[in-house]
Amino acid sequence: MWNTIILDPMINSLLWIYQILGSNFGLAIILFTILIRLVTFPFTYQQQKSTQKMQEFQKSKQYLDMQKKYKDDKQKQQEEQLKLYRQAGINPLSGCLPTLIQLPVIFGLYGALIRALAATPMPLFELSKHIYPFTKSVLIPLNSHFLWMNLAQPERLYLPFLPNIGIPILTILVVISTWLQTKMTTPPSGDAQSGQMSSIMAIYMPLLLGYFSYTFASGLALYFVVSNMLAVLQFAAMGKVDWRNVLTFSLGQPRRGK
Amino acid sequence: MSRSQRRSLLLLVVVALALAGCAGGSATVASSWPGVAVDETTAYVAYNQAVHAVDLATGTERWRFPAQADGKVVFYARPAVGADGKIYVTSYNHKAFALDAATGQQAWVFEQSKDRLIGGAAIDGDVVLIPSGDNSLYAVERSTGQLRWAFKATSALWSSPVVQGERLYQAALGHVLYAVDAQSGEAIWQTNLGGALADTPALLDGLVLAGSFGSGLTALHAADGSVAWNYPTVGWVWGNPVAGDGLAYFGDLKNTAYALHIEDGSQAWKIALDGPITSTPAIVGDRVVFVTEAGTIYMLRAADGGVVWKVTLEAKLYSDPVLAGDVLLIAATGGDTLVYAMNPDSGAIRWQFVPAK
Repeated sequence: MWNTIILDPMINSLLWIYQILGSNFGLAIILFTILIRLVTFPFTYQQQKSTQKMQEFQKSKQYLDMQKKYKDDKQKQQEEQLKLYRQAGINPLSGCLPTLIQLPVIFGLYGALIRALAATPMPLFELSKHIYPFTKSVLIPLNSHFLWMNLAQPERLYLPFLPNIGIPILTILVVISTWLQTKMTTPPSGDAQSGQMSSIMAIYMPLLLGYFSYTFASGLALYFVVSNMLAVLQFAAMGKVDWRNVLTFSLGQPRRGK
Repeated sequence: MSRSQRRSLLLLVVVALALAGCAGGSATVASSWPGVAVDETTAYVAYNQAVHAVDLATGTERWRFPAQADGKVVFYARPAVGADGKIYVTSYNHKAFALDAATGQQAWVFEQSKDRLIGGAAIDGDVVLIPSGDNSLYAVERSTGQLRWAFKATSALWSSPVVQGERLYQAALGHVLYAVDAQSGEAIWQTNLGGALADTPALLDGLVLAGSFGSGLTALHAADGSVAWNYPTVGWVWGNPVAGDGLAYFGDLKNTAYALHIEDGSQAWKIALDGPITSTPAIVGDRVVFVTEAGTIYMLRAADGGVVWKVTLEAKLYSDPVLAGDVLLIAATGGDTLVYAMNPDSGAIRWQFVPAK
């Protein structure tokens, strides 16, 4: 089911793009990421709108008064919070749902990249099970070289004056771009819990994706970098990037709305 | 830690596990299948973090290399067994080792490869040939491991070369089959077969036979590399063919076993099996044995493909079956047993080798 609906179409699309781009897998990943972003744009847009609506509501007097009134009774505070959301026509899960819908796409893309970049016998054998009959076998093995990288292996740049030290350029770019993306696309929250969650994500997500980029095939790291850049551009085009938030380093201390 | 912090961390852990699961790239996950070679008394089995020397009579382990597993050193390729009392093994950490066949002690190590060594070593007189993922075929002194020459192909080499006289034939993953001067390492001819070549070609009656991904089985004239005939298949051909009585036997990844007349490539018979075939079949007298990913061993009549017996194991079978005297060795993955020793007449299991943890 997973293979039929998600993984196989993604793998074969990736191979098709690779073919029309003259067997350049780096460019294929970039174009594929752009297409995925376009396909998932309605969900991303919906998610951003819901988040924004909720965060604007969290700055309202009515909400802040309720928080103050029940600050010593967390359970009551949560009950009242849900009641207020209901009255304002806000579904607290509406921001999560688009993310959940996107998760299979993200995992599928990840699986497609890893399989398409098969660099050892077993992954290549597994790849053979996912290729449609009309996808040309002549494409295999893929040319995994892009710029200075072998996209099938973790990336390291060896400089002439530092021949024994590999610098993980893509990993560094992934960490920075993930951090920037998280900070720029997450508006400050008036809610303490949301603020904490955003701050934690801003720290751990770059580290997590950085670890994957350092450890796994660099094709994945390329996807992360391109995807992060597109996310920032997408939010910028919607006029929703919060540049001030980049300079905020607080952990668990939400910035109050004016 | 607050509830929201716990929730965030839980989400991250779930994402991390899901992504790690998708990658399947950890050191403990096998990225290939076992390689098996034999001499008169011992089977040498390269799999994951060790090369095991297994007594052919009893199935007990004589030694393993390295004695202590190192997560960074993994072995999958079939070892090359020398007449000099040494075996030669290649590893994914770019190194090739010469080991004493009796004790497993390391004689030398070759460390000049710049990429994984996926294909197994081959022996040509006083030279050991080492194919590499860095596109090179290295020829090293058998006694010392010193480099004699290197042949540079245009793509990764995943299979052993095969040597005949003063020539060797090397298949490259990037669709090209090379004939190389075994003394100098200079290319004699090269032919593009239009599909990836993952296994060692077979030499038969002045022909070089190679299976490929998408192009079926192709026979080339060994003299000049021109195509003698081509037999298209539905699935990719991974394992190389084996020959007997004028027929070439091979399987594809779409579950079909074939027998072709070597002379002209015409089909003698074909039979559907129960799973993909990645290995080279083995000739056992007037029969031929195939194994499938589904775990089934098929003993077929070589003449017409009729099933003599078949046995299904609770394992996945990707490796070449090996006939060692009167024992049929089947290397397996997906279970505790690494090697099954079977009676080739009946399929009865004589012993199983389960590596100690």
